[in-house]
Amino acid sequence: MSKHGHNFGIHDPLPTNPKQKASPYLQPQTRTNVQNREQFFKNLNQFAQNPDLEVFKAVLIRGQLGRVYLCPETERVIAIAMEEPQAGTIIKAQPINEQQRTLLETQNKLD
Amino acid sequence: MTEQEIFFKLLQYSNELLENNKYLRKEDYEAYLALLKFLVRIENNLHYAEKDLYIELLNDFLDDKITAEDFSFSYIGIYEGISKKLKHMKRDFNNNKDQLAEFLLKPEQSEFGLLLARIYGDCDHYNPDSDSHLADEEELRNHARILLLEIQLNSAE
Repeated sequence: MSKHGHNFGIHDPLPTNPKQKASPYLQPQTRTNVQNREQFFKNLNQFAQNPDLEVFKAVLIRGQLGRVYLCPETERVIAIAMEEPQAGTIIKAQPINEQQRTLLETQNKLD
Repeated sequence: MTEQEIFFKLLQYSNELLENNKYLRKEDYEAYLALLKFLVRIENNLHYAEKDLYIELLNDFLDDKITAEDFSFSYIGIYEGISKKLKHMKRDFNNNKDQLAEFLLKPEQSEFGLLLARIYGDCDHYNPDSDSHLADEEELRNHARILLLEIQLNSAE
């Protein structure tokens, strides 16, 4: 989740990595930190207010159960843990593609 | 109706609904699943077409030329970038029909697509500051080796 700030309105890119090779798919690299975390969670809360979100209950998210909220227009998701010790915490916030969406629909799973 | 015609009809319907703030999943779940099946095939083939980028990145990581953190960011960049490309193609499908049809007709790369998605999850999860970073890196390396092997076996066929 912490690598997806740029998908949720955080324009706070990390310095360019000299080891990064040229790629047509280069994109800003962000990591949420103490400075931008508050804004990041504000943006996630705003995302969660969208009445069109599709809800997936009891999804297995890297070994723990959670709820996934998908925005069908922007194709982004957030996931909230349902089990302790992280119950109620946002554990994922990322764009979702067709493969991940299929796993969510058919296997109730999000890696 | 051919598979290709069905795909374009479903995609057009989905886009028309989107323009009216409606969503295929809510309006017609069966059609949504049928469209998703086509889109996964195209998406996996788009990823496969960039296999050389993945191979280079996987080798750099497995040969310790880059760290797990560098690998994670670069991998996410490629993976999301390709997905974004498909998103653009499907929203503007009238101008991308030929390319969509081309990737729809290629053989399915389902195992490859599943591995890519799993590694995306590993990369997203990996954090060098976390207590579990050594175990997470080992898992990431194992999955990277499997993906490299899968691509090599597939290319040899």
